[in-house]
Amino acid sequence: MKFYLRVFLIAICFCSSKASAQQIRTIEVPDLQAILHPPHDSLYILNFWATWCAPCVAELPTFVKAEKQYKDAKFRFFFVSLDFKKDYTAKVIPFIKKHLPESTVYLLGDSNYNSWINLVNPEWQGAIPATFIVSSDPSKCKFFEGEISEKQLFDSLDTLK
Amino acid sequence: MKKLMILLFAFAFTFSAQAQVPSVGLKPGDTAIPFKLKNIDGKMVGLNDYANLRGVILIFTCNHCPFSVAYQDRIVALNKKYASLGFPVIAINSNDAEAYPEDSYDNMIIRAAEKKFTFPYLLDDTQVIAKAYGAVRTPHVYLLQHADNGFAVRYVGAIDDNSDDPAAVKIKYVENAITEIMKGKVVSEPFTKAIGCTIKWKK
Repeated sequence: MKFYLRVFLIAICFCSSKASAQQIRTIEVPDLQAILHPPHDSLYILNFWATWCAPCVAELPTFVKAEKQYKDAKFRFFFVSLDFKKDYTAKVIPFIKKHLPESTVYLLGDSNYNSWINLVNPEWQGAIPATFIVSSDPSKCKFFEGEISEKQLFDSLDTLK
Repeated sequence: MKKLMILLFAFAFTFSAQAQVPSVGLKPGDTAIPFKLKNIDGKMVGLNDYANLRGVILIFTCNHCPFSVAYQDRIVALNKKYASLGFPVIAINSNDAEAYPEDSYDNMIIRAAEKKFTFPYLLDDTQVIAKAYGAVRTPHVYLLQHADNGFAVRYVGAIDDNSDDPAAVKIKYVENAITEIMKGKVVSEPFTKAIGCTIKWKK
């Protein structure tokens, strides 16, 4: 009985902790627009990446670490994969299951890039990795095109905490 | 070289009015920067060698990037279709081969042979040309049209609107731009964006 109670309590803990459950979802541009506008007082961190992009893959652990460290802050991390649709089943999903086990991962397969890159940020030329910190407060928004170092990311998040 | 550096500085301090167009590098309407780079056959190829032609499809690309790979056949097809109309392709690889050995000069030679490149595939070893043009991704196209003072940039961006599937392409940006230029019209969509690999800068 005691054992079952413990399992039950552990289960509750997992359910109530917002960042612990993995979420993988295919999304379209309107869904992307929704996460570009976080509710008041919260910050969304969007990392655009792909399994074929070596520097993207190299920096993922930094984001996973940040996500854990800032779990209690009003930050939410979204990993937006720009992988090719044909690679989802064999390559992308297994990769995500292994390397982003507790994260929210969106798969954006719309390859008409010119139609949506400016929606994310007009300054973005389309190279990945690209990281966006978005907030309803424009002074808190940040954009990094290309690789971001652990120090850069953590310093940015610290100033926004 | 000195001239180029001055130009580079000038570009670094030029900010464009339109937010979508990068603040550094060449924009549609600008004059193309001349270059002379080593081709896969060991010979030097320069923009000036093309002075008698109507234009050039200049493409920053590389070996390793999956987007460049996805577009390889389409780049070969562009040259096949447009070289005889006066718009041949020149491909340039600016990537740091130390970080990405697949993009080395030797591997460029191999790839060009495998894919039967019928156009120059140049090595931008110092990365000066990519920086001068403002190329950030691969592939990144600069469509140049012959002008009085050299070449004018008429289009900057992607080859078409579907990297994934050539059969599903709806808009062929580069081809449309060439068609408009040949008809004497202004290019109606002179700038597009695409997802791509970053150009791998030397550290």
